Amino acid sequence: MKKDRISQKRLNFPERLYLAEILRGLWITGKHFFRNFLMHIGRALGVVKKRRGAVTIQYPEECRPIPAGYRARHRLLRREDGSPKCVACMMCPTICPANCIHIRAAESPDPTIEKYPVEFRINLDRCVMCGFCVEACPVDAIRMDTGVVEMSASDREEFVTVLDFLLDSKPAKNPV
Amino acid sequence: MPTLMIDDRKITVEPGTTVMQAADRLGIFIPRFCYHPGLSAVGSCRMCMVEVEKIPKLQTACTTPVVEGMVVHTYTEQVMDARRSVLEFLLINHPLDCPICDKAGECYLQDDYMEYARYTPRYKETRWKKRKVHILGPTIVMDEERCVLCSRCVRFLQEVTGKQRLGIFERGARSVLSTFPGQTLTDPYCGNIVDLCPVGALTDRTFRFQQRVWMLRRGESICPYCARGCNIAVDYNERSDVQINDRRVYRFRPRFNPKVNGHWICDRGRYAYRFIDDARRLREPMLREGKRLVPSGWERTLKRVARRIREVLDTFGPEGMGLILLPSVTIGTARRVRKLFVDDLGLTRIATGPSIDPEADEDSILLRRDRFPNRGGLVAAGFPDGDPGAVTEGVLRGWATGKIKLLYVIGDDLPRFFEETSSFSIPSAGGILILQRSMEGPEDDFARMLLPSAMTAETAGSFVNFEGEEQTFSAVLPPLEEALPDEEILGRLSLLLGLKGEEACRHENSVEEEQG
Ligand code: SF4
Ligand code: SF4
Ligand code: SF4
Ligand code: SF4
Ligand code: FES
Repeated sequence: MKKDRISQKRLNFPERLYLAEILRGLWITGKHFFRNFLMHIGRALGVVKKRRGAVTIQYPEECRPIPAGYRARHRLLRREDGSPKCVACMMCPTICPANCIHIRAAESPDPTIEKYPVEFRINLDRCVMCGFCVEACPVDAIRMDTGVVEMSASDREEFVTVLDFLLDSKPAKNPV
Repeated sequence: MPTLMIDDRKITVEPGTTVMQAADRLGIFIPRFCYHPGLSAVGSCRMCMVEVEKIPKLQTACTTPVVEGMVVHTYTEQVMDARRSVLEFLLINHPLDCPICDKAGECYLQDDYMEYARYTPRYKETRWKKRKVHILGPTIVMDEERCVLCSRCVRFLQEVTGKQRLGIFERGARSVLSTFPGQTLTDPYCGNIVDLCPVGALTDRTFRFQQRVWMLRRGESICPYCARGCNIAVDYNERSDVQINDRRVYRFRPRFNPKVNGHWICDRGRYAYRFIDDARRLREPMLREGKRLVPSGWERTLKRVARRIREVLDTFGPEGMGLILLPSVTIGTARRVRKLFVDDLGLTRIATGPSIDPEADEDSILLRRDRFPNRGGLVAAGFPDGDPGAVTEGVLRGWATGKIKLLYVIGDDLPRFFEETSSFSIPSAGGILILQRSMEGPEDDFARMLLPSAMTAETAGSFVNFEGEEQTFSAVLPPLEEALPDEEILGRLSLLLGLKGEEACRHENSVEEEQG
């Protein structure tokens, strides 16, 4: 018989006794707890100055840096004159697997642009962050480089980002 | 009858047929720009070149008539090379507009490029820039850069409507299509040139930028706006998600039927797509309470209708009730009306609406002055074929003088219908007016009950046109909100009147639950 591609690691004898493993887990947690505890006290008393107060990241005061290619909340780019770069071609709603982009197009007063979006909404509560919309855009008008990954709201409506909001979103400052 | 071979398949056709027509009949597709089956063939675009054995040069399939024993090849190396070269030539000045071009998704140039060309461009010179937005008429806008100068639009106006309004001006790379000086496209058929244009040069100002064509679904129906009954395709978006566009009909296009409308429809029918999701549609059944009409649900409204009909019939006999059935309803509805109101209730004052709209145009192309699509169907359902105008006047006079206590009107009135019959607007003293139709109208002010019915695109049925052609269609969309097809409304009503028709039994359970 063919071996399963995902096979479980076999436990050795001491592991199978469980008790040792439980103690090992308690030891790891306890070690960090007491270490952070002492370090925080040390920092509060001014004894510890250079080292961090904890081994863990102090979210939400502290955040992990976001890698450059990370797909975060969308933004829309502008042309030099400030108008939306988007030409309302509807490639992004066409490709979007979650069906969460809604665009209403209108005739632009500039005949070389022809078409522009008067309404552009992304339903972030449905978005699966696949980035297909960014890939599909023929004019590089939409990007997911704001670095904003914290999206929470108490109302569904708040998940709907609209044109002006998307245009005013800024790219992340210092992606790593 | 010459017999020829196209790509190793044999076909026998009538003399005078072209290679293009023979190939189309075999289902072998030859790409084209200037050829259209409804227009004369001019052989100007050279896209349809095929190889004919014993002829050294490639031939245009659209203008070459077949001869006995001809052997045609449509997929040889040489043919492919010709197609690639023609496309390279057409694309010299063509802008890369596909993302914003309305034709993308149904554009011959786009499709053919992907299919046959994909060359590396060799053209180095500066491209000609032409006007991007050139308004040709109230409904048509032209993008000169996208035009491939196939002259389909020019030939359409010349050959079908007989009014030459368009021409190709300038020479060589500077050629542009335009209207003759001082003219605009206002013909009642000019919407067709948008469908005809193989590229996105001519676009419809009402449809432009509303939707990409691949987001639309296509349904098939019959145009209900004149006695011709043209075959139409209904393009609609059905995503009724809360956040995405609601269900909406975006355009009507002609569907080929050689017996009825050929390849075309008129603009009056074409732009009637807007009525389907119009704000003036009736959305729910209404009952008059005091001065106002209030939404009241189907069961309550229909029970009230049934009760009033019974009261009037019991007190005044069948003479006390009048009915106007406009020939905008299907044959099925007409049959049901006949069974319910004539056979079962014994009504005699029945009219089928005036036939002629005095302000409508009629021409030898498609338009008819009779604005109802199913006059023939009413005759087939057993309504008299006399002068419907006079009978209608009679019923309306009866209503105005108070002889008719209850008037039931079924079908969509057309705007001018009630204006010419001014007696209508005078309500008979204490009379009850019941309107069963799809759109709001000024007569609603006098109505006691409003029963919203589905539009043609939302129903199934059949129409008989003025030439006696019976055409069956099915429903493309569900009815808007609470509207129901006429047949179903009448079915429920006959049940409430205690007359069990066969089809009415379908709704029996739901109605009885409500009653109990
Ligand atoms: S990231 Fe994916 S799911 Fe989200 S809007 Fe873009 S295409 Fe749609
Ligand atoms: S793909 Fe780009 S240009 Fe097209 S609608 Fe989306 S954001 Fe706008
Ligand atoms: S006419 Fe066709 S090829 Fe040209 S821009 Fe429009 S869709 Fe693209
Ligand atoms: S506008 Fe369209 S139909 Fe008319 S000549 Fe140009 S490409 Fe042909
Ligand atoms: S289609 Fe035959 S030459 Fe244009």
